[in-house]
Amino acid sequence: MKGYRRPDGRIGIRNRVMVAYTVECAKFVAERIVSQTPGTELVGFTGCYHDPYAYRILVELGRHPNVASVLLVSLGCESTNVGQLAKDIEAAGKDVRVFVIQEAGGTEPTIAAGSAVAAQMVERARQMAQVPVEWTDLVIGVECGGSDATSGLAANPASGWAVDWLVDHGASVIFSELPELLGTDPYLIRRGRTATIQKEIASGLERARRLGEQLGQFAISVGNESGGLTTIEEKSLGALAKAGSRPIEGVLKTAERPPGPGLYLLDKVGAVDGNQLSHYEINDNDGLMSLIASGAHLILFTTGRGSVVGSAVSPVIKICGNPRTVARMAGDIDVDASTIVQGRESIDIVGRRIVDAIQWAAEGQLTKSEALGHAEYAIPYKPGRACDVV
Amino acid sequence: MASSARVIQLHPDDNVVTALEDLAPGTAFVSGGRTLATKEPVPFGYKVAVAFIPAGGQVLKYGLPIGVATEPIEAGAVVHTHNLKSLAELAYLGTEQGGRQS
Repeated sequence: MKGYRRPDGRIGIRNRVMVAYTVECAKFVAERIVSQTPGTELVGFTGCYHDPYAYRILVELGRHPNVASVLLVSLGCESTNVGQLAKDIEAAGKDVRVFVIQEAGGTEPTIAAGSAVAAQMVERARQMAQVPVEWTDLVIGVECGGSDATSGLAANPASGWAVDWLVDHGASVIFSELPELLGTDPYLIRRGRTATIQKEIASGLERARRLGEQLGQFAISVGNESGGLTTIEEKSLGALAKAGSRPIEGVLKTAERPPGPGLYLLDKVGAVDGNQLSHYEINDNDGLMSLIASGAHLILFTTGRGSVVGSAVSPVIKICGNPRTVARMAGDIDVDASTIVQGRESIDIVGRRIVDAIQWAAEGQLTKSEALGHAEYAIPYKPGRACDVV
Repeated sequence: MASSARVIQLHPDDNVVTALEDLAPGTAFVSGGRTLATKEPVPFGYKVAVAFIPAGGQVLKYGLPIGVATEPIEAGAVVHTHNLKSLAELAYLGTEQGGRQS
């Protein structure tokens, strides 16, 4: 595997030039810069008012080892402190340029100037030397979306096998989605390496439970039951299966990175108070962004019903255990785990293929979503979110 | 082996396996080297006991309890919401039914 060494010591497996708008009013100009400059990609935050969650996500995306350099596009009067944002990203040694539309002369001059600088950034990124990447350099995120009856039987256990392999080979792995793990409390808690970690896991589960109670969403659905699932324990153990079986070395808050190798739990539940909407994960890409902001170089994304999304910054490997979905959406699925459901392959064989897929992606081969041009992102307002409170 | 139906056991300690196809009553399947037969229809994705589970006994999947049997369950019988109850839902909500939604 090969990658790019960044000034902060981390190694990236991609060499992206990130164009980020800092308010909706700057989005059009940023989009034009990206569409005119091959090799760049877009992220951004639409809000005018400062949001600590979105701000920290933008900082960590800019600092991310898969990103070579950053071009910020600001309108000029948004509340978000764009100068400080640039400084915070530069603190990781990154090349950051800021274009303020109100100062640069409006739409066309900013697009022209921004595109010229972005093209230079792409050229410099191309000239960067590659260095070898070891498993110990990698942070892998695990997420599920569009789950169905096969998820807990095939894609998640196979992902879990790969996660155990990665941990055993010195990589860091992050999983999240605490509300989906309710009911597994005694087993999840005892996987914490120390008493302190166990307390943190218990705290996250307790807040997820209170949140579910308040939202009336702590439940297993009729659809789950007709698919063969019975209890919340069974449903949640199926979700937990994607995180393998190794001890949990720590609990991360928003934008925190694993301090070492091993398995980490990202707790995004936050403090449960009156502000419940702030806890919603608005879509799968919102979840992917938070894993990537915590340093994930690559995402394992398990699905049953099928998903097509990729992500900005980090490649996404899609693993699907439903034979019909694999047949129907073959162009979007990287790893076919439906062979488990068909009785043709065992969980460890598919798990091994997931490890191979990670290795190929880390050697520079594009994943299906990357090759198709997917580069979604979602950075919503999350006032009072986990990063500030817990 | 060739005639045995497709089921998956997710952990060696499990006392249930999951059907990977719709199984008719009397269908032979292999678990832990033993050949068993279904006692009733098992739809795809549903669980079937591979050992006798007494009332109050833990039902193990992924090597962990997913609940307890509400009545004795024979090997080969379906394990579903009619004979299995959650312990977590009780603990969370103080009711056995409270956790269900449509």
